[in-house]
Amino acid sequence: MTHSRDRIGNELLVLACQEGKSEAFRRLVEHWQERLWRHAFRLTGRDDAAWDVLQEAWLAIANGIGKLQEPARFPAWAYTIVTRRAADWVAGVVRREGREEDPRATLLEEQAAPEPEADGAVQLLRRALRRLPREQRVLLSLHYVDGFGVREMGTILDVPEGTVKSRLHHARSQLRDIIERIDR
Amino acid sequence: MSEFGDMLKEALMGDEPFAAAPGRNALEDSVKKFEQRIRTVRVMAAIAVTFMTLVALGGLIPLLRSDDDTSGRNLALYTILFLFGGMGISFGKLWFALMVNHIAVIKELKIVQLRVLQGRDPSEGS
Repeated sequence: MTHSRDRIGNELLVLACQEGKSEAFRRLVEHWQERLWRHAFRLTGRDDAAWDVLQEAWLAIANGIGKLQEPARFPAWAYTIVTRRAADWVAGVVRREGREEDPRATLLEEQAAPEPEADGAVQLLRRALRRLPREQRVLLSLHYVDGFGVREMGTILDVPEGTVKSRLHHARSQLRDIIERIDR
Repeated sequence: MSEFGDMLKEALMGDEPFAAAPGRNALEDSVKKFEQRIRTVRVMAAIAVTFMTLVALGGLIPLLRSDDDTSGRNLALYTILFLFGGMGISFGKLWFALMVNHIAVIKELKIVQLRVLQGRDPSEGS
């Protein structure tokens, strides 16, 4: 129930933005800032890069929100913009530094936050997740943290629904394998 | 969500510490950009309406001042100018009215949905 109210409240904010109310846009930014930052962080692996990506994404959102036909599509649309900006950031780093490998490959392990208080199962999951490839982590986060369905995830990642389903299945089974290896 | 889903969510979020933006105000920059865009749209709309009004007046005034000596070719030109300007303003206003109406209708629907949800949830009161 609360989830539905939040969703409708969010759609009303988007409509107010389309009417040109800057206070509505401020509230929209406040409401989505943290979730979009987390998504950018997952994709870039660096908090400063996540802020750069988010800044550019908000500018694109400010420019394009008037043309958004369906206010209900705002979350998936905003996540898609962040995903594309993050891809541009990664491509830019690869081009500038002439790297061949993904610049984010080692960052996640290095930047992992200190273990917060959590029960054994959550800690085990956290250790397993750190060993999971970034793409699969992003996929699981979109589904389990942000609550997107397969169709929306397909839009965000620009892949067909079937591909999302199979990748999600693969990510879960790989996570299970890693947990079993850690537990052994 | 399942218990596994909840644990997975907790585990995933634990590794993503949300930190304040270092040395910048992302929120203010975004809102400024939005306000700037709204201002630009309004200025562009004002320029377009002014231009079309001038075109319409540029056709209407000589049309009203015309007499028997005015050639048919000029009369046709003034009429076309007036119609072009008038139609430009009319279509602009029509587009704006439709857009505002579209937003207003969706907004009303969303408000009704919200009231229905609140009505269903007794803990919400009125």
